[in-house]
Amino acid sequence: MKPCEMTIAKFHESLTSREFSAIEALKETYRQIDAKNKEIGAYLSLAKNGAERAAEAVDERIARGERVSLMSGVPVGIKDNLLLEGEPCTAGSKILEGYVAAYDATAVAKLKAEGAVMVGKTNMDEFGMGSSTENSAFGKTRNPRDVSKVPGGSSGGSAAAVAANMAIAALGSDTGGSIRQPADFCGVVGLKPTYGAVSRYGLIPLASSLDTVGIEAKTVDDAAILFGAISGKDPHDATSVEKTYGKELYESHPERIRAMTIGLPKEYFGTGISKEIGERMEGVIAAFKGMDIRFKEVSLPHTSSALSVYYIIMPAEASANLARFDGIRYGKGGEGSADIGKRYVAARSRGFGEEAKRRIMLGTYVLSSGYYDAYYAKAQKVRTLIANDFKAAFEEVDALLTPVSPTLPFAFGEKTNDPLAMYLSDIFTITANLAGVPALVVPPGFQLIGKPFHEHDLLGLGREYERKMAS
Amino acid sequence: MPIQRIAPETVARLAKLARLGLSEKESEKIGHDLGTILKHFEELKKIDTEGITPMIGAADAKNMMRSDDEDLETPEGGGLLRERILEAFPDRAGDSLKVQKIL
Repeated sequence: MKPCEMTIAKFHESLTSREFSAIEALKETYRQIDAKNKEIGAYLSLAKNGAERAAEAVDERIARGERVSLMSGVPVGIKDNLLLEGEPCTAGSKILEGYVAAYDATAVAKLKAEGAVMVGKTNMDEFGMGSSTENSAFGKTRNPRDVSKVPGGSSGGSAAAVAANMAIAALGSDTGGSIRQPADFCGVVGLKPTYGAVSRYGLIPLASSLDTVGIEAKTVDDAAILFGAISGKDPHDATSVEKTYGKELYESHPERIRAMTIGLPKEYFGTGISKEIGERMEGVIAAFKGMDIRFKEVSLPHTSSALSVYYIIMPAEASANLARFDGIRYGKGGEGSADIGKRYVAARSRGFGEEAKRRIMLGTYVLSSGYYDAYYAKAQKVRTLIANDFKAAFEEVDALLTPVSPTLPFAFGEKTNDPLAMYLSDIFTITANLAGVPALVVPPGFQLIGKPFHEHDLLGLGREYERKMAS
Repeated sequence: MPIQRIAPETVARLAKLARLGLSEKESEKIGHDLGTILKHFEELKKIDTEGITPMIGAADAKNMMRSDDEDLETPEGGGLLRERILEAFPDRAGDSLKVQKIL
């Protein structure tokens, strides 16, 4: 078994019993990347020097007989909107071509502190704007399970890297489903934490009230280990929350899990899902029922408004966040313009892709004088109603089970000419971001949504499901 | 479905506000796309939001104060990190951002 085919626990066991060294594991990871990345396109850049130094440091500690933490030497991919010191960070956009990160994102720094090895930066839709990774300015990522299909997005590179054994796990970000939908499409585990559970410091922002940093992994246990490592209050992010998770993340008591009630929101099981997804969900429900877990139908009555609310709030915040890319602090191309106004326009027009321009324009529209109350203020109020729906549902049930994407992975180009059709592929994932609640995707592709800061409930349910399927 | 598009002069005004220079083709496509998307938003009008507090963020926002100390680990701090951030500027003069004359 190659190191990147292992779970973290297995990797740790092999490393500490000296079946391989961290540097050998890293070299094997780069051999896999050399062999596969040309076709899959998961990585945009590789961080070979830093990765080698980190792996050597792990090997030195082992050679000295020191105990090393569980994540030591584990090869991890980093989505290219998270800063990795000394490495390029493009967020999939031409406007950041040539930009080199000056410091580490907090989530990255925390993984480094655990001894994990940052292999490289993974491809993504520009600034996280997309559901197929086709909006990257730097080329396609293909779905390792079927290279004629998209990997999902926007964390398509991270999910594909994990699925193709070019990393054991990867960091991603999720503003409306950007970790979960690629996890679904590529057949891996994806965790979008509660808003505030993981620091956003060093994440290039898309929509600040919706953005979360999370994980693509091979197993629920691996996702739990990474989440335990990256979560926690950070003085550099005022919206990060004082909440400490303990061993409940890593071990679940089957009796406690089996005493849970799962809610099935009726609005998520209507006519909007394809036959294949409907059948898949029936199988998942039957498996949970086989564990004696109870189900209850619940209602989230404002679900049908979520897409409109999301596509008002997200572009509004994005248009404000992307104002920083002005050709002066970031983004070449405007130098030599006649005046500063022309410089802004030159750098931004050259640097942003079609979807980024569309969302900046949409965000500018909904925030502009005369439209603000009708769109942005209205959307914020309906967002309250959507969050209230979840609060009411969680009075009755412990977690919700839903599909992730309404369809199976689609082909390249299938939705690129129809933005609304692309936006509709996020319909089941955006609500968790609007409400700020955690959600977990587990193969073959279902979503569990939980109470705020109850990631352990979702991980416990996911773990029991994995065990049941493996038995 | 009839084509919903927003007026070319609205597209031009938004582009000016957003500091974007759009080609004629881009403007036309964006005008069409925005029209379709805004049409979809109409459904929100039906929802009664009388007396509902707007949700401005997903976490309970609390103001955070930092002690007034030098912290070399943050971008606001000095040293190597400060230099790296300066290096990332597209154009600089010494420790300053270099821009065109604005006065």
